[in-house]
Amino acid sequence: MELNVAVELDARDRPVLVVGGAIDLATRERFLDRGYEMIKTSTSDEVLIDLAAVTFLDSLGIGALVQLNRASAEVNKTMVLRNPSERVRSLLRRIGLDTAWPIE
Amino acid sequence: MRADFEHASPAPSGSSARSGRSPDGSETPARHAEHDTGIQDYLSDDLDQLRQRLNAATTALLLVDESQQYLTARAARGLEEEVRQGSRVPIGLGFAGHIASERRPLALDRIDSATVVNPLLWRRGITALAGAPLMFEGRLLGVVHVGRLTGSPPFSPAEVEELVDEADRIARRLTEWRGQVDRAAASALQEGLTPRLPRVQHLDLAARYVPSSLHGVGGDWYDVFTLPGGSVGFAIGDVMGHGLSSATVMGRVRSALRAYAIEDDDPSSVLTRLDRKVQHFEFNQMITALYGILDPRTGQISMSSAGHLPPVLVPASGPVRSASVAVDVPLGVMPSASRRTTYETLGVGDLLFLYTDGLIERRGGDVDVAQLQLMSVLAGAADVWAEIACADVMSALVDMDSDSDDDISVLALRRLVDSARKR
Repeated sequence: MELNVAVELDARDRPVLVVGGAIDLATRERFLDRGYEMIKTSTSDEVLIDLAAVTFLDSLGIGALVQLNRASAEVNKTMVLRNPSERVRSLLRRIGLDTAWPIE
Repeated sequence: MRADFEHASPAPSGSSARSGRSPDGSETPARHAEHDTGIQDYLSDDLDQLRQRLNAATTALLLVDESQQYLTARAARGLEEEVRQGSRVPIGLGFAGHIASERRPLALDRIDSATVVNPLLWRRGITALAGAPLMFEGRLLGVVHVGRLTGSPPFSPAEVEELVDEADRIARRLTEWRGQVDRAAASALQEGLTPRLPRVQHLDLAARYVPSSLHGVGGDWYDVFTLPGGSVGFAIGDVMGHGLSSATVMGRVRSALRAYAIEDDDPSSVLTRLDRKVQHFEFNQMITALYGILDPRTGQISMSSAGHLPPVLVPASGPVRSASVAVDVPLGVMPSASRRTTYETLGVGDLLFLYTDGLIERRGGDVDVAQLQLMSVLAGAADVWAEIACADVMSALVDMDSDSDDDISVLALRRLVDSARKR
């Protein structure tokens, strides 16, 4: 499966990392690279990640989110997940991560 | 879980954060350095061939070490001292260090302290050097270089091209070798760490561990041990990733859990301590774990889950259900996560079934469907021996015909007689 990642601006002109497709073994590194870049370059104190178009997320993908969350916290930013599908949401709930970071 | 943090960190050049030892000296997954001692034998023919084809007097293989900051000599021809003396070059410095940081081949026709860090090279009388990075799937493994002695011509651009091709081949061979060594070491480790289930009065125990067909052993574990005072501690967990690095982390986490467990009779506080240990000493690890305490006399259970799937409760009679346990964040995710203990009761003949997600997580498969299937298999296994319940589950849910990404652990505890009432 493919991964699409792009930085877009939201309605309030803040950069959002818009992710689509699968976050798994094959795509994890690329997702992380873009995520770290976003954390480094964004001037906002929130690291916004839009997961609406994510169709597959396994524990590797979750591990990547955990790493981005940690990297964000290290520079006093907050990672915020936006629009996860019901499937992704229930996966996060299943492993107790739905309270680990804000989900919008 | 089939996740792997080992190569997942960002890779700014010269950063020590990519993997390996963190700046505070915390523990990291065992990497390859200690196993690379046999590499000289494994790559013996490759090095000879390289030397011949490039008409070189010396060749040396330097590999990136655990810290990701140094290259260490691991195999050589005509420069064996380099390996014996454990020569180390900082990445970014000198000839080999430069090739590593730039990830580009380099040829030199002046060898002295200005161009080369290792004095061995000019003492040996080398007058021309050519080196290339060893790359595999975009990752730097090390550097290979060849040298010529006084009176020989320098390496031509065509020869450097040839060296680059050879370096690709050697990088592939090296990766193969590490795969073999890792798999062998990891499975020996898993085997050594697989606990013997204790004999406990009034308790019927069974467990299974199955490595992934694709990646071999991983970071799953289960554990059952007696506690001071007659209760029994039980645990199941999953260190993300697979192979040797996850298995070594698993070993440390499992023994740390035991250590906290004999000091503390509240599962959530045992996991809180374990989490602190993981965050302090294990770099970039995410671990799910469930720890519980069962009093076999009363059937009283207390449990805490760090992101781990709730066990299935199979009553001797009555409907099968998910055990009620509050699921808190996995270990290693965030500092001072709040954790809860939940209580359950195991009646006589009831069985508690714990498992890792490898049992129900299939690529392209639906986790919820697999979970329902698990419940229905267990419904058919009410009031049977724990061994039989495990066997039924494994034969129904583990598909031998398709490759499995993840390892699988299951643990079943069944209460035999109500000794409390008897007494």
